[in-house]
Amino acid sequence: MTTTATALLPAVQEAIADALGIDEAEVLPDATLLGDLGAESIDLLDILFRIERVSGVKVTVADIGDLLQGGIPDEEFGDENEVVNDTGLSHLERVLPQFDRTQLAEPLTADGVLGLFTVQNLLDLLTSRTAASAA
Amino acid sequence: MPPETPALPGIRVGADLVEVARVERLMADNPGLADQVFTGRERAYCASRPRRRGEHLAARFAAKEAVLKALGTGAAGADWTEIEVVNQANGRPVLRLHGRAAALADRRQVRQTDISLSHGAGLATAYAVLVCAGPDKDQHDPQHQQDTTGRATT
Repeated sequence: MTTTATALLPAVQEAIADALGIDEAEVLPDATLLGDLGAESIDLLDILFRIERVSGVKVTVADIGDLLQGGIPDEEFGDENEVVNDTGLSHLERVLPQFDRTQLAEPLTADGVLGLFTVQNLLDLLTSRTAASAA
Repeated sequence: MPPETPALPGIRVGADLVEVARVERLMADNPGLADQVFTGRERAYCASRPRRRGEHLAARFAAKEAVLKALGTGAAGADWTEIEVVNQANGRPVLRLHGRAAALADRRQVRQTDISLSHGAGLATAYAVLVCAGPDKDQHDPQHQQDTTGRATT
């Protein structure tokens, strides 16, 4: 973990725990925000604003969406049944280091993509934002 | 031969429920949040009802979530401001979709939308209905739905 990520981790854990009303010890790096920690979209908004207040690093839900879809148009990211296709899955494997399509129990649909996003992925996004603003 | 039954339209529904106090607290703690979530028209409408501003804002937040669910995309599928609730002169709320939300609706062949909002007892809720030109592949007419063995599942 980089120095920036190490420095940001406590703030991220505290923000998530406070927004969700859970113990910080539950906020493990590989926990998914929506699935494992039970966050709803309003919680995501709360978490991101809490992080911005304490760290000054601004990330929006739209930024997470941009990361996950990488600017690939919807019609190229998934098929007509909204199932993420090879192009989409390849992109997700690039941006989410833990994601492995062979581990999917069922086809991944568009509304399930945000559910892949983990605490570590958020930390990585914040770290890259910090690096970009420092450059 | 019986006349061919016309294809039923696809109907997509989304619902959401939020705690008004939570939205009010988020707005109070984060001055930048209102711009990120609500359009100028939405903020102006809610500001014109100061006694229940938080409830109106929370209902609109729920509406955006309900639409995202009906479109079948997660919260990151479109910006919140791309889903707008506009009140007609008679007060009836209607949906206006912009940007990615509008593109998603086009892709889902959405031809008609409706939205219903309600708030009270500290909660705000919204239901979104999208009527699509083609049948939703996940939705079936129960009169005709059959499982793979050919037995009716109704």
